[in-house]
Amino acid sequence: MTSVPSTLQRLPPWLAPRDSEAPGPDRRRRLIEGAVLVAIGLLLAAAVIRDVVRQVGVDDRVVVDKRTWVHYTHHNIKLVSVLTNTRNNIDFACGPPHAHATYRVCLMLTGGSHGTYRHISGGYRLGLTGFDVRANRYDCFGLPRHQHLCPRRGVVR
Amino acid sequence: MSQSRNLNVAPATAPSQSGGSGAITGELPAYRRSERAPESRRDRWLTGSAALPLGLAFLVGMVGCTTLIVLDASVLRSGIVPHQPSIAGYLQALGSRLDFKTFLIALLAMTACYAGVVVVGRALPLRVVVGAIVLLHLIVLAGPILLSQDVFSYIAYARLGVEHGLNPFTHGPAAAAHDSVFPYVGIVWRHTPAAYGPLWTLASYPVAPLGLEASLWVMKVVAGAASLGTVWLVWRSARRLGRDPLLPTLLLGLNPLLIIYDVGGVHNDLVMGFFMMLGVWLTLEARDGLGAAAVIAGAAVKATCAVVLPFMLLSRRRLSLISGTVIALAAIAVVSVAVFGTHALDFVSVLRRQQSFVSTDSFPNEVAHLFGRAGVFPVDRALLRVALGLVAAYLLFRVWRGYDWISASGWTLLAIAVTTTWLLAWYVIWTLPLAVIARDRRLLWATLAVGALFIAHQTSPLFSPL
Repeated sequence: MTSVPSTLQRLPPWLAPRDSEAPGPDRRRRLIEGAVLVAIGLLLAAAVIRDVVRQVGVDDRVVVDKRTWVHYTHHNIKLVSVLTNTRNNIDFACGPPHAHATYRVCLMLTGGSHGTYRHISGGYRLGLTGFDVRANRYDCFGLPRHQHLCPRRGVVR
Repeated sequence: MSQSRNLNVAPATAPSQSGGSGAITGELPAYRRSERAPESRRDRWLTGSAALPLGLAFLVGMVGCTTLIVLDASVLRSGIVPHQPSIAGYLQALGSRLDFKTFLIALLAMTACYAGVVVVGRALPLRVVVGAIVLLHLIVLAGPILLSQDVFSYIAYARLGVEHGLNPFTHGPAAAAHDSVFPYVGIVWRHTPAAYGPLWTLASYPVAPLGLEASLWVMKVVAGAASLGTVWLVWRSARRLGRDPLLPTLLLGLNPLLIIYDVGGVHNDLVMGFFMMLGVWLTLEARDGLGAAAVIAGAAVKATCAVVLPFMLLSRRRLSLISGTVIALAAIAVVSVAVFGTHALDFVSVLRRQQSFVSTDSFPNEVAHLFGRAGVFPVDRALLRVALGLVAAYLLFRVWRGYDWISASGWTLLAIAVTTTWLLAWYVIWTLPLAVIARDRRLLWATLAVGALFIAHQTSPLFSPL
């Protein structure tokens, strides 16, 4: 038997501990709990479906981004890195423009991804190693130049 | 067919429960197959002549999918298979490199077969179900480590303590960067001290001197044994609760997330789950002190297990539970302090830091994307903690008022999995052993739904040209 200390038995009926739930289904409570669970389930299902669709869209975009980069540089390599943005469709595709390049060409790609190529709104150069951060960029052109994504203007290194 | 099952159903009487599963009030008959209510038309279809071959076909499908994944994974050089020593090289000739699409198709097919087995499971002979569970475990255990590098962290912490004389609660694997296991430790965790409980870290010490490959095999055997042990405890607990144990056993033992991610990834969550279910079973057997001690042992493997304890205490309200808790805590504290010093509790701060991470599979992250936000921010995390606290408080009150403590523990673990921003596949499985025996069937549906959503979220590469 479950032992309930006598002091606990003196609690008001709605607060007193019970060994089992009150007989008879509490339909109202079950209904509320069920509604909350269904609402949470629907929210999670919608979020999962939306996220899968979003990810598929981003993946599709990356393919067009890479194709655009190859078309622009005339250098057909597979290791073009693409930095995608989850909040808008502005991507940055980077890669060395030829086999012996000592820098990477990064393109700012905008617009829809339904065509063969995306719109190139500008770009910049970046060292072969190092992160794509403002300090490492140079020779900005197009939108990146107007948005001051490069710290300085310089010659090709 | 059903005869073999009848032989395994408790013929004797056993204490059962009235009301909440915390209240063992007398001698009532345990589950008997013959006492089932007359079968409905739907039941007859589910156990009819077509159900057995269908169930067997589903089981064969599960074994086939698992075999495909393991054989292809043994070739290594895949994003799904972490960098590791070639411990399953003997299988390489039979497979080809595992790509995401093959893996996902096999996982989805396995999940569909699992759903089929669950539907017609009652028609399957017990021996076939148990055989399939054991076979799936053996197939995965024979192959390489799947989908996770955590096992290398376990070994690295053990080697830090044993081979290099360093405290794993104050040093990350990078402190012994020349060690043979270091190249295999996940980059994120290389500077992170142990995030696991002191009991797990201490229990892993004996594998350290064995060398890397032997350590991996020992860890695999431990994970497999813990998983099968948990399945066995679920069987025993279901019988104790007067239920048909076949379906709970099948629901847990054949679960694709358990087999591929948990056992395949050799996670210590399996050991935690074993101790948790040992605690549940002992409590159902009215051995409350030992039950509480088992839960504390589980929490000393992975802290999440501690969630069960307050519900157990509130429902049972027995002195032996408190004494079992105190004695187990004291014993683990003494051993931990003796081995690791006062740093044994440092894993709590590591866990807190880990909870600030965001995994792409976490539900909060997905919900944030749904509402057009870039991701989860600290304020969201604070709100999620508040929501989790409210859920736990509500469930504690419900248990105080007689609600099933097993269900309440399961709901809380599920709430943790849904609200954490750092969700991994093996966290989704935490709830399942409790859900399959819980009185509240909504918990089982919710757990299976969350598992299905997790798998669904993995499928984007199937629809992409990449």
